[in-house]
Amino acid sequence: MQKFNWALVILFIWGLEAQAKVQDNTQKGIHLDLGAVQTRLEKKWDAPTGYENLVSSLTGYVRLRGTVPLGKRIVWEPSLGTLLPWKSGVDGMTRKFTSHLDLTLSYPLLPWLRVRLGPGLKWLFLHGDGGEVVLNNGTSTSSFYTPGYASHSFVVTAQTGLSCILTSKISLNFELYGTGIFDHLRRSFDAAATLGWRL
Amino acid sequence: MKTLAMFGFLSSIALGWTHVGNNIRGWNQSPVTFYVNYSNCPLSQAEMNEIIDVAINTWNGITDSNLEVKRAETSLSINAFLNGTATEVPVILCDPNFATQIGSPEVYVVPAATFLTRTDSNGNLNYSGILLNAQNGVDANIGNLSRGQVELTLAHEMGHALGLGHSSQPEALMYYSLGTKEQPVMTEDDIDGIVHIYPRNELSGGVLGCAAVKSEPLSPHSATSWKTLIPMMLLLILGWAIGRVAILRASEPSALQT
Repeated sequence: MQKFNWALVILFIWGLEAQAKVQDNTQKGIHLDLGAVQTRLEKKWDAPTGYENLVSSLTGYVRLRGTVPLGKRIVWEPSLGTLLPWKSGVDGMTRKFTSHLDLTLSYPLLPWLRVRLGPGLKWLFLHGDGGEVVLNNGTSTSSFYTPGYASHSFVVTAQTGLSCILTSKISLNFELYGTGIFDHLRRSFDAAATLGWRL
Repeated sequence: MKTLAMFGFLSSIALGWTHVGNNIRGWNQSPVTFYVNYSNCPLSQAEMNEIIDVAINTWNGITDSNLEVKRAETSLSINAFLNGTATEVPVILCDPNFATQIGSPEVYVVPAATFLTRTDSNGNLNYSGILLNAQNGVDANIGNLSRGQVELTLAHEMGHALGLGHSSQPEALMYYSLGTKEQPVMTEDDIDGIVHIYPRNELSGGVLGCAAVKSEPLSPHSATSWKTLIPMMLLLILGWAIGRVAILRASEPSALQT
């Protein structure tokens, strides 16, 4: 119980401190966010045992995020991020590159807590050098081919999240990306957690 | 910089998907209709339809892909398909003489195979068919397999008919062997492979007027982009309006002060 009380005191002091710093963190500037994205959350829940990590992967995420105050409370936070590592395929002949362009607005719920909401665009780029690979087909082997052309997929996303402002320089961000949210067949969600530094 | 170097080191995660042909592209039709002839099938039409629907739904609903698959009935014969003159393709047929197509001893271990996958001059798939093993007296006859194994087999063969080759990832749907798998489950590897062949482009309708984006045939789901974009834009405008009102109210001198 005593530990709980101390935690409350620390939270209170931190809240006061954050309140003083919140304005600095949301002033016009650029933030570098580093963290991770869990892709296809819904597939992870539905996947049979042993498949969770094959349909839904935990991937690194790096993002540059701008903060542009549009008034006393609302801040426009456009951002451009990419999932890391960029994945490579058989013999390194296939590459996958996923990035997010987001145009969100944030609004303070508490002095140190902001809610973020807005549209975005997910760009999935798959590229290969082409070439033949020989793979088992059960009874013998067959020739198959790695992709010899680039493919681009652009999907509109809806994003919502919380930004916890720790200091004038540092913030902790949680986001949920929804794609195909009005299509029950294609609906999918990615979740991100990042730690942001104001540059 | 150190962080970026670390991510670079981690980038050795391997995907193993391939194409069934060199520089192959998807079917030009959307949705891709699999025509089914139920003759000679060891399972009832109702059972076949349930199995086919599970296989179809495995490929439908990939967020980053515009692929949509459905089924229809046909009376196309095996010979007409093998002659290469069928118009209702891709097709699913039950073959009571499966050994003739695949040979022996393969007929005892192979429950299905995809034949005659062809492309047009642009590389788009325009001919393919799945023959299911309906040969009497062999273990690999689909009538002797569990329901899940038939669903898995059919989903795998559909992957070939849609343009995917085998994957080197044992857990992938497109791995050559059923292994211990009991139901069709897509891995990230299968998903990336099909997205490469059937990419989804929600900008292709000119929503943002980006002429640089390669135009894809509009999918039946293209309206989704508008359904998503319009509410989000309205939400943005609403958020902006609420913010403006809040700012204006905060800056107004109160009656008490005057």
